[in-house]
Amino acid sequence: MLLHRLLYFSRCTLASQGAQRRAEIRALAEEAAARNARRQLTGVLAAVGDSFVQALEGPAEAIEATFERICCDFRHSDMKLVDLTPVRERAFPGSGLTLLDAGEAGDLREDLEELRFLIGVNAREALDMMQRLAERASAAPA
Amino acid sequence: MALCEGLRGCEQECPLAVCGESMRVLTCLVHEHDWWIVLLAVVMCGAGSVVAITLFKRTLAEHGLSRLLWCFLSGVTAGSATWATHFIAMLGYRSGVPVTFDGPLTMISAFIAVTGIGLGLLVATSPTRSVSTVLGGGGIGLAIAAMHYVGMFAYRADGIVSWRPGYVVGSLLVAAGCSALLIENLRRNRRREDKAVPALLLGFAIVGLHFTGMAAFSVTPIPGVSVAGDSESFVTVALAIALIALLILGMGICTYLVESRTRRHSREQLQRIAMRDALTNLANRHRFSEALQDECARLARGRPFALLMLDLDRFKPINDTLGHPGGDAVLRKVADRLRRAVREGDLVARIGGDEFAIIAFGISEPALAGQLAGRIVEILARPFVVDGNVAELGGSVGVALAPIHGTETEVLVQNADVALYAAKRAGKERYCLFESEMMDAMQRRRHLEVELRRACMREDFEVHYQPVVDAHTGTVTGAEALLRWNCPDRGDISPAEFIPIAEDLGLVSRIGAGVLRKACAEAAAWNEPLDIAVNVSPVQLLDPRLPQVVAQALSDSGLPAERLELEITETALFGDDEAALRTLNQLRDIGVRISLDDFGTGHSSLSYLHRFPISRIKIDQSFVRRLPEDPGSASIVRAIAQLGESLDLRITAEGIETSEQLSFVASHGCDHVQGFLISRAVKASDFAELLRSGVSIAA
Repeated sequence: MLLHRLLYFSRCTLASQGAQRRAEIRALAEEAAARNARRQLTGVLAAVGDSFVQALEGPAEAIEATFERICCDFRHSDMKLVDLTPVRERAFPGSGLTLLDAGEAGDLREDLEELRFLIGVNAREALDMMQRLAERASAAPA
Repeated sequence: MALCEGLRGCEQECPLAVCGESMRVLTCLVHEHDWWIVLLAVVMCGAGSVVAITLFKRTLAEHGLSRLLWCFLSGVTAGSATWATHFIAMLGYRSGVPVTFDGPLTMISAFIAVTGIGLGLLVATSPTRSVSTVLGGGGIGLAIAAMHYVGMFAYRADGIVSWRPGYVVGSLLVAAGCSALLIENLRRNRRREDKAVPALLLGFAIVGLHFTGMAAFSVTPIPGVSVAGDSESFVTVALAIALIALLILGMGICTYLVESRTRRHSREQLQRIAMRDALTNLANRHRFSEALQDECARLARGRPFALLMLDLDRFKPINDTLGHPGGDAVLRKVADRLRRAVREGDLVARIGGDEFAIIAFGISEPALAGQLAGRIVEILARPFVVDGNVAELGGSVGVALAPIHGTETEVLVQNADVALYAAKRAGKERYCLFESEMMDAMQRRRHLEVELRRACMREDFEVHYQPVVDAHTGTVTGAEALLRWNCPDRGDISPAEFIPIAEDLGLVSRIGAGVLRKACAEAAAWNEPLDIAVNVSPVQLLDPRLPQVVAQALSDSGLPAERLELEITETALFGDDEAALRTLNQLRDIGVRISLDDFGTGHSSLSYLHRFPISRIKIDQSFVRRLPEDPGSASIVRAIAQLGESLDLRITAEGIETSEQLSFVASHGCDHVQGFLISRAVKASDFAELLRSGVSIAA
């Protein structure tokens, strides 16, 4: 199966703040996870401050269609597509979409801030970081 | 009634002879027919007439083969109904004698009805009025009459049959006359809804014919023969006939309805196709014009709207790299994004290859229109992925509001286009709201374009010369040639304004060649062997003919190559530098020198100094202006001068306006200076005068 992996970041335009915004993002991620699962897509969505960083992998047509859907969403803007490559195996074999957010305890915050910095500088490193964080997140109890 | 009962069999002198005939018919109707069956016949006649008229109307509107098909349909339906009416009425006739029906003749009468009406209708479709009404209409009537009388011959009554010719003729006249009038009415009134009058006429023709014909007929029983009625079987037969005829009517009307619906659906589908862009399924240009027209008409009722004209930036390269299928896929995605960016009910149309238009209803605030335009610009700036390829487009949007910016379609479209043009000139990937100044600016530009072309044809330019002096001694060492243009009705136009226009029009090479020629000729005529510097634009540098043009100018004027210096800006080297390098080397081989103008302001790459055959740097006036107070400028000027020295380049400082600036640059390694302090650019004659008087401008 021809797999593609896509990596982009964007700016969140949700009007809400704090806990309400976190709740909205969580709902967004759940919806996306369900849709992704139906189309054999997997990935990670990191929400840090006003930024989103997302990695998606799966069949080429599904990636194309889903990215177009993402680009038609007005809940974020200023998308910068960092990487789009064919890959042999999945870097994020987990669920349809793993959400990485700072959480109420704010424990992931430092790592996510670093990710936000990395994504604009070195895609490879950012991807590795996302992989690590995703593994940790799926290993941790829900 | 009592008065006229005696009229039967006795139509001689009678004071009531005038109304005698009509009474005869009425009496016949009332006394000699079985009421229920007559009622059935009337129902048959009524239904038949209405259906027949519907079909007749349709038939008269058809042409060619369709016409024949409709005539057949009408003939069968109307003929069946008419024949059924007649036959049922016959079944209801109480003749008082035993009656049988001759099978073959009965069938022939049915056949006559069908074919007669069908053919009559065919003739009635003729465009000639007389043929249509008289022959066609009359023919239909006579066909009905023929059916009736053949049917009468099929009516075998055991008694003495007698005919009244007068009534026969009367019945023919009634039938033919009513049918002719009916056709005339159908011809004149094409509306589908007006069926009452013609239906009545047809009904009257049938009924009138029948009962007048029956009045013509009488049968007297033969004494001794039994008077058998046979009513019940006749009723059964009448009902059977009625049922079948009604079914035929039903089929006839159903065919008509089915055909009507199909035509309507086809027309709607065609409309849809004609109004839609095939690729993106957005509205097409036709539909857009129509909608805009409609909206402009509604403005009077207080329904403002905004018109957005949208152009994709950078679409052509995508068509080139991804091919047409890829380009099409991108356009489809663009269309989807536009649909999402606008509000429910707004019209999005594709009016050109990569041109779109949007009508946003109900918007009167510029701010709201700007918001919508901004959303569109933003969503188009997001990346597109097609077949694993990434495409980055962008869109420029021009916005015009109605009725503020116009109330007519042409004006609005023009204004939105002007705003779009402004957006493109301002750098693309943005939106611009129309302002009347834009229209003025655009009209000015259009005008200048026309005038510039004319000036180019006539070589209507002037070259002025700004003296360049030695920074230390103050002696004039040369001049920079500067292009000046005086537009006949707009006065002096600054080069900053008209050079970009010349570049867009592709006139720069030609104008530049003219400047070179004039400058070289002028310099050759000076009484001293001073240097002449001529500006070369990036567009000229990319022209491979440039070295040839320069060589020609030199040889025509006789100016030695060493006295000519060509000034280029850094942007000229930025693009296709392989070609630029080739050209510059060729120029150096001719013997002319190259200097780098406006140094420090562009993408000042020091590698340019290294790779290209540069012999002079001209420090841009923006650094000189703030000397000597501003330490930043001072450091930069110092640095450039040192750079020049170590690379063995000569340095000119431009824009010297004060003596402090002059002393600063002179003491920091500049070789030459230029500026208002020394002299403005002057006409050729003034410069020659300046040289002759041997003036040197003291430092």
